[in-house]
Amino acid sequence: MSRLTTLLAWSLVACHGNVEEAPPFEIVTPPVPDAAPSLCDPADRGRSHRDSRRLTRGEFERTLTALFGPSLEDEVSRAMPLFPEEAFDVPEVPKDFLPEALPRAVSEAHVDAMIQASTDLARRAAADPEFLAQYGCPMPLERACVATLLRNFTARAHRRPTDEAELERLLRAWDETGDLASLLQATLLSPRFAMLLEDGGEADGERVRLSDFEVAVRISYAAVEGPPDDLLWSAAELGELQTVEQVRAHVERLLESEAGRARVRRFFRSWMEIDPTSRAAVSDAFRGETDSARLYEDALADFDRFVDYVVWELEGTVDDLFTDTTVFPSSAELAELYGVVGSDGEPQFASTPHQGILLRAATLIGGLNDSPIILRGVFLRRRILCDTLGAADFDGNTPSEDDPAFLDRSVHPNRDVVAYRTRDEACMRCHAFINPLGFALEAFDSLGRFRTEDRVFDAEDLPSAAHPIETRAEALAIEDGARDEVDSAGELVEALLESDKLRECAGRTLLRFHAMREDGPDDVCLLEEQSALARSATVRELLVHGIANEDIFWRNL
Amino acid sequence: MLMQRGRRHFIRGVAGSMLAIPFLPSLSRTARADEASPKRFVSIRSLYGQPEQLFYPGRPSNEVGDHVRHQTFAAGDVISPILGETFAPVAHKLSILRGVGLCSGDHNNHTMLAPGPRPEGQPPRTRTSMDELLAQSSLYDSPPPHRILRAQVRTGHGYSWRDGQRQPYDSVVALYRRLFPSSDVEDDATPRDLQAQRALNLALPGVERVRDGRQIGRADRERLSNYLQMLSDAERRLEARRQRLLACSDPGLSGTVAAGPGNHERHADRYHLYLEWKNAAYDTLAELTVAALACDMTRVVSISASDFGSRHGENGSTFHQPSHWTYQHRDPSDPGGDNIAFVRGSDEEARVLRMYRFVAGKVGRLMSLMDSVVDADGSTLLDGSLVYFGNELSGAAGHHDYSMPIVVAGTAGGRIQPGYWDFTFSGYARRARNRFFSAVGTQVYANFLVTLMHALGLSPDEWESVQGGAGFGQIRVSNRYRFGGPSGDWSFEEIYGDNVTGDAARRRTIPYWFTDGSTA
Repeated sequence: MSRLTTLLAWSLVACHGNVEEAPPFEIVTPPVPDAAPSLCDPADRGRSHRDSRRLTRGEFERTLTALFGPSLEDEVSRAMPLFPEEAFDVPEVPKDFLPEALPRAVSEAHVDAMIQASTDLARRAAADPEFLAQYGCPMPLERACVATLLRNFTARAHRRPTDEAELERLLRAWDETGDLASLLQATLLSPRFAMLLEDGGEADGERVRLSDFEVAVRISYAAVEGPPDDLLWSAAELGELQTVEQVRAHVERLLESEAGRARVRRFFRSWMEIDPTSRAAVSDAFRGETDSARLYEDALADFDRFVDYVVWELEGTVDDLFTDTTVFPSSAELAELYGVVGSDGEPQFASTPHQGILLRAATLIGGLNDSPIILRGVFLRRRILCDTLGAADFDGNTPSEDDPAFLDRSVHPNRDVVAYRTRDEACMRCHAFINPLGFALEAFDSLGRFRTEDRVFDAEDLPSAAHPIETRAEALAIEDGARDEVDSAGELVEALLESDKLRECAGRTLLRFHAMREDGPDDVCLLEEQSALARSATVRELLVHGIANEDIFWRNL
Repeated sequence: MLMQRGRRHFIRGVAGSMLAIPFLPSLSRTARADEASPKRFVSIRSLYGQPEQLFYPGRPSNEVGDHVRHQTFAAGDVISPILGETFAPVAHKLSILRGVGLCSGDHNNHTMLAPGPRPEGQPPRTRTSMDELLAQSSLYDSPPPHRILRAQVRTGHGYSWRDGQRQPYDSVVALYRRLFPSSDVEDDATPRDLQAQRALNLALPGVERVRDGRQIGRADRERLSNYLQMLSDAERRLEARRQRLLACSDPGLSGTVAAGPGNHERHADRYHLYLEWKNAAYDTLAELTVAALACDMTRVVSISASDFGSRHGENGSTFHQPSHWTYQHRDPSDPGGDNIAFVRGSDEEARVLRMYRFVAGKVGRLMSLMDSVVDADGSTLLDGSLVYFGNELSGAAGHHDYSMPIVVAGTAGGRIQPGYWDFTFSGYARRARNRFFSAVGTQVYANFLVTLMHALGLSPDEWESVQGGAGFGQIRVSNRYRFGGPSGDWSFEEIYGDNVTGDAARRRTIPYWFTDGSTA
C-alpha cells in the first residue's frame, strides 16, 4: 500500500474503521542494549545470515553491465526491459523488511526473461572483440584462448574462482559445437549468477566462515549494489579480506564512490519512507500558489543533498543528521517553505523549524488537507523508534458511535477530531502511543509547510475556519526515563535523540537494509556496536561499520 | 535434453483412406502441452446442390422433438452413397443436418459462407462472408501468419489473406511454398533457440551440483530445486518449439504435389489427365490444410470444390450438366420439372454419383486426415474444429434452398452433438407435379451459421454488425420461397414459427444440435 493510500485509509476511518480489518497495535519495545549488560556472544556472530537471496533489479543490471563491459552496455540496457515487473517482485529498497517480501527465490518470470536476455547478450558478446579481449581471448578463438576466456568470465559471473571440472565440461562442449555463445549463456543461467549463494569454507561449530570471494561479494553488494570491482577482486585473490580492518578499507573506498553515495542516499530515503511516486492530495485552495509537483521534486533533491552534506562533508553524527538546519533549496517553492531567500541549491540555514532528515520537506510531505497525525505517529513509532505495532483487540466491545458534532472541522481542530475518534479504550491501547507523536508535528501541514493555523476548507474549497495550532504533546512514552512531554517538533527531536531507542533503531534499520532481511537474535553483537556508534561516532562510521564488522565473515551452517 | 533430428516429412507417401502422419501427432502434443487447443473452421463448398436421395441416409426413426429426429453413427458406418467409405472412419464425429433452409444468399456465388470468384461483369460482392468474419474475430488471439487460406480446386488457384490483403497464388503448390518455405531450421531458422537449448543443457547439471552442495541449507536447497525445475521446463518448451518449427518449416507433401502447378486448362478435353491432376490437387490441398492448421498458420480454411461451369465433366460435359440438368432440365417440355423419378437407377444417375462421390471422397479423406493428428489437449485436430461440407443450394434439381445439404465434422471441442439430425417439416407433402423433391426444413440456415459461430466461441456482437448488412443471423425472405402442402402453399409462420424475426431469432442456435442452449 502506498503511503498516500495508507494515509487515506487512516484519515478516513481512523480507529473505528479498523475494527474488522484489524491493523492496530500493541507496542513492543525492544530491549535497549545500554540498559543491560551486553548480550553479545561472539560465537554467534554472523549466524543470522542463513539463506541466499537473488539479486534485485538494480543489482542485476549493474552486475550485467560490469560483466559485459562498456562495449555491450547498450545491449544490457536493451535486455533489462525484458524482465517484467513480476520478475523482480519486491521494491528495490523494501520499506517494511518483512522476510516474505524480500527477494529470496527466482521466479518463473525471471527465468523466462533471463533465458531471453542471456541468449542475445551471449550472442553479441561472443562476437564482440572488445568483450573477448576483456576476458583474455582476442580473436581468433582457439581452444587455449577460449579456456582462458571461460575461466575468467565464469569467475566474474559466478563471483568465485572457476571450478576446474566445470571449466572442463564447458570446453568439451566447445569442442563439440564451437558455440561460444551457448557457453557464455550457460554461465549466466547458473543460479550462481542470479543469486547470492554462499558455500562457505570450514565449519566452526554452527557457523561456517566464508571465503574471501564471498566476503568480497557481501562487501560489494552492500556498499554499491553491484559486483566486486578489480581492487576488491584482487584483494580476495590475495587473501586480503581476512580481517575487519582489511574489509573496512574497501568498504570506505566503495561507499565514497558515486555508486556508494547513491546507495547511502537510498538508505536514508528508505528509512524516512520517502516514496518518490507519492504526493500530497490537497485541495487547490489549500495549496494556494505553491506548485506542489515542483516543490516535491526539489524536496527530494534537497533531501539527498542534505544526506551527502551530513555524511560526507560535515562528517556529522546522528545528532547532526536530525538537528542540522542546513537546507539546499533549488526552487522558489522550497526556499519559501524553508523561509530562505536563495534558491540556487547552495546551503543556507532554514529560518523555519525545519531541521535534519525528520523535519525536512521531503519527509513531511504527504496527506490531505488535514495533516496525517496518525500516520506520522505510526511512522515515528515504527521507523524512528523501531517499535513493533501489533493488531487491534477490541475484546468483543463495540466501538462507540461518533457524534457528528465532534467531527465538524469548522468547529474542531484536526488533533481534537483525531483524539475524539480514537477515544475508546480499545483504540487508546495503541493510539495513546501514536497520537502524541503525531500531535507534536502539527506545525507542519501536508505539504511540509510550517504553519501556526489549522486551516479548514469546505466542500466548495472555500475557507471555513482556522484553528490555532497546538503542538504540545504529553505521554510520549518514548522509553523509560525519557522526556515525556514536548511543546514542539524541535523538542520532540531532542527527546528522541535523548533516548537510546532512536540510535538503536538507526543501527537496526541499517542492518536490515544491508542484509535485506529482518534482524534476528544472533544480530545482537552488531546491534550493540551500532547503537554505541550512533551515540558518538559519525554517520559515516556507522554506515561503514554496518558492513565492515565481524559478522561479514560468517553465515549459519 | 536436446534431440538432434533431421527434417521431417510428415505427409509423405500418403495412400488409402487412413493416412500415416508420423510426426505431427507427437509434435502437437509436445508443442503446446499446456495450452488449450485453438478452435478452427474449415469449409468445403461442394458441387452445386446435392441429389438428396443419394446424399442422405434414410430418415432417422428416433423422434426427439417437434420436427426433430435423430440418430447416431458409429465409427465405420457408411452413411450414404455419396457420403461413402472415406467418411466411415469419422462417421461418429459427423453431424448430418437435414431440414435447414432459407438461405439468404443465392446460388451465383453470393454465398454467405465463402465467396468464389465473381463472374466477369458482375458487381463486386458487398457482403462479408463468414470466413472473412471469422478471420477478424476472436477466433484469433493474436495475428496469425494467414487469416484465411482459400483454395479453388477447379483452377488450382489459392490465396491467403494477410494483413487485410488477399495474396493470390497460381496454384496450391505455390501457396504451400509460401506457407512452408524450405529452410534449414537447425542452421538458420532457430539459432537462438538452439543456442539457448545448448546453454540450458550445459547449465542444468551445474544447478544440480550447486543444489546438492554439502553446505547448502534446507531453504536454499528448495529454492534451487525450484530453479532447476523452471530451467528444465524452459528447456522442454524450447525443444517443443524447435520440433514444431522443424516440422512446420517444410512438413513435406505426398508425391502428387509434383503434379502441380496444375492449370486445368492444360488438360482441356483430356479428361483422364484432368482427373489425374484433380486427384493430385485435392490430395495436396488436404495435406496443406492439415499442415497449416496443425502448425497454427491459420484457423480458417475455405475450399471451393465447385466445378460449376467447368468443361471437365465426364465426356466433356460440365459438372453442372449432369448434376443439375440430369434432374431438372432433362425434359425440354418441362424445363423446370423435377425429373428425378425418371433417372433413378439409370446410367445417368450412376455418372452423377461417380462425380459426387469423387469430391465427397476427398472431403472424407481430409476429415480423416485431420482426425489422425493429435492436438494440444490430447483430442484430435478434427475434434477441436468444425469442418463444414455443403452448399448454399438445396437439392440438385431445383434452384431452391429449402433444405441445404450439411455435413459437419468435429464438435469444436464438444459444443455440438454429432449424429444425423432431421429437422424436416413433418406436414410436408410433395406438390402434385413433383416439381420439387426437397424436404422443407423447419430450421433456418442463418441460424446454422450462427450456431457454428457460437460453437467457435464468438459472441453475437462479432457477427451482428458486419460490413454491408445486418449481420449473420439476419434472415432475408424473398418471394422465391413458396412451399407445397396438401392444401396449397404453407405459410412461413406455419413452418418456421418465430424462427425468422427479431433479435432472438437472429441469435438462435439450432436446437438439440448445439449443446450450450438455444440462445446466446
